[in-house]
Amino acid sequence: MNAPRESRVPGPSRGRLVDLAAVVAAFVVLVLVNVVAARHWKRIDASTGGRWTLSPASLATLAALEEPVHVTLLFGASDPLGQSVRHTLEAYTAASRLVEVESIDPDRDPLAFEDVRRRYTLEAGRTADGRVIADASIVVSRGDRAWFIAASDLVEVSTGDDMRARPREERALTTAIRRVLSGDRTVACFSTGHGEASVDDSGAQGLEAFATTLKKSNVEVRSVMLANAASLEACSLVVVAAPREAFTKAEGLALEAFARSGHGVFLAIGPLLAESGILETGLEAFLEARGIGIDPTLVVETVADRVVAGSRGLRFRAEVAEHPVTTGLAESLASRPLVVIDLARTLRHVPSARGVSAVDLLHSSPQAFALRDLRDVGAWRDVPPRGPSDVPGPHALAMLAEEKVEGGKVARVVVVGSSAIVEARSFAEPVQSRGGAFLTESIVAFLGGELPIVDVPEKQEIAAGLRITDEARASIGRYVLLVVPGAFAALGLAIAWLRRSRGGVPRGKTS
Amino acid sequence: MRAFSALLVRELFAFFVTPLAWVLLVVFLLVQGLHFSLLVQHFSAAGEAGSDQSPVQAFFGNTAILYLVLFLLVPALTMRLFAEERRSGTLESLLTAPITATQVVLAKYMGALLTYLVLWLPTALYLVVLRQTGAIDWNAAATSYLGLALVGAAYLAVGLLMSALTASQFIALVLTALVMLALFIVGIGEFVATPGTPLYAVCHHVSMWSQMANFSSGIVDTRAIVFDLSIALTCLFVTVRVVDSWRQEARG
Repeated sequence: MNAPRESRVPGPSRGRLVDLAAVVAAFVVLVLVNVVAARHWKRIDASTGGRWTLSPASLATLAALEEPVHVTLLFGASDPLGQSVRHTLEAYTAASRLVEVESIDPDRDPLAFEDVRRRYTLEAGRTADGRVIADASIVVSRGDRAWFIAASDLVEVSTGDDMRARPREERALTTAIRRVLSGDRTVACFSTGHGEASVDDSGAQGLEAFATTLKKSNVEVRSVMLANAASLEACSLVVVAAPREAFTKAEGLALEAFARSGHGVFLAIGPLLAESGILETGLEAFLEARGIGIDPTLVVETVADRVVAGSRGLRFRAEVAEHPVTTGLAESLASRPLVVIDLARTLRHVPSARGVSAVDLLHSSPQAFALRDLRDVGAWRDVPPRGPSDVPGPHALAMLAEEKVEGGKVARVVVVGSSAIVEARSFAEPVQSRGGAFLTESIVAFLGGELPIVDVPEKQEIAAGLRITDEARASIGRYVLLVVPGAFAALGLAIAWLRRSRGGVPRGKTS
Repeated sequence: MRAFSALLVRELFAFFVTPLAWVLLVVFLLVQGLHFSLLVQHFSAAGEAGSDQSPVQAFFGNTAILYLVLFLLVPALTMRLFAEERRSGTLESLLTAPITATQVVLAKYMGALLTYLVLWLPTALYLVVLRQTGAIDWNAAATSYLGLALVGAAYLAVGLLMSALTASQFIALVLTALVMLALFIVGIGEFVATPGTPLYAVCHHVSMWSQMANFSSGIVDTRAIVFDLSIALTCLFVTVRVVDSWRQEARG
């Protein structure tokens, strides 16, 4: 009995060794297979409409890359857009090794986020649920050129009955890559030489906040002398912001020539106050050619709930007309930032020799009036009564004129009869009354005439939310929490009852 | 093949006539129903959220409830596969039957996998409900189920191996849950590791979260397929070796 047992001992031991070696080999193969798979992988986009598949235009852009493009993502872990952007960027990195992606979670890595925030002068804040968000969600950079992508650039959510979203990640990213490659961007040239504040002035009346906001919108900011026509050549638009002195006739002509070549002009000109009253701007002829009259007046608002307390009717909430430039600010919207105007002059429609007709963007209430004589302003303690020489409202406070010029181009001019709208205090308003600052951004975007990149096709819309009634939601709850589990519970009970009726013997075993 | 089929039918039958199966199914559907109901509430309230995620994406890939369900479901499905046979003493007769170790292991594995898939089947009714509130990306839904099947295939194979390594169902359940938890923790390491580092690459490769996020968006990534199938095949191979060693001992 002992001999055979002794002879079997080495057998199982050898067998166990072989088993052990096979198991170790299996795990080695497991690791190797995964290493190979991680290096040679393929992504198949099976989504309807090929949401994650790059268009030929994007692929061509990536194929043309000659040096690395750095993409910095500033999404928190719970950001609703983070996952979609990462999916899209995987397609970019798969198509080109020159796309470098860096992901920074502002909540988890505040130091790295602060570094990026300072490098690109980003604005940051916290949401109601405590998440850190910046005014740019993605920064695409190459060398010292950077392009900013905001969350609103990444998706277009419709608020219709059927809650749908149109993804725009690819369009935004490809646009950004092309921009940092070409350096082709809107150049806003700020006029100087008429007492305008500097774009580097961070004081209450300075233009630094406005300039910084424009830079964040991928607009390059320069300062120019209007008299020097050559300095306007590189400009996409000219901004005349808060001048304190009148323009010369030559400067008016230079501005005319610039606009007639199909460019945009943005004038933020409040009353030019002098001891003798309100001065003329020197740009009257330029504006009249476009159907806009600009008056040496001062608007006084009398409607109490429009007037800012203590402002004697000179600082008030303007009414906003419907126009693509004022989208998001229009009176018809229940929740919108208010456009607060300070020290405004009146504008009006005048006949244009060239047949250009202007439209209103902002206006006062009908109860407002325009002062011509400012001698007693210093003595006011409250909103003054309208005098016989004052012009009754409503008064236009901002107007826009578009004129077709040679080459099929459009010359666009926007004039706001207040300087304060572009000054730092306008950008420091609480969000609910920062409509003036938002309007200036919108005006510059409109005048810059940034055309969308059309060769990156629109993605198919997806259902991003549910528009259902409370009743339908309760019905779905009942269905998934009661009906479906209940049906299977009943089926289980029926099978248990059948088994009991057969004496607890499963049919399989009986047979 | 006939022996394999008979064994597979026996496995499925043995499971679905037990109260455990129906209790598991009803609890599973209650949890998934609650999950779905919460998502419906969220998406009907998040009208202005600026999100471009669909409810299908969220259901299959972007909430922790999915993984919680898998942690509960898979160990419960696999704990009894070999441990129960060893406890009740039916393993001896199985090992001496004219059937190979591979057939035994595959039959039990396929039984568990089919049961797992059957458990997920009623959740397709949720998509039908969702369809009535708007369009659904059926392709993404299909890849989501593919992802669930692949993840399930890997984890069930782990559970089968754990059941073969111990005679106690409870220990098998705990071991399976621990291995799954370990894989999950390594996976979510991708959110902690610095992108571009080898650690991040490993975490991202193992991450079930990323894997399901891809599948639920309609993306089929070969890395995920290879990872899940290689885990499943390796565990099945080791389980076959274990069962084979029992057979050799049983045949003495």
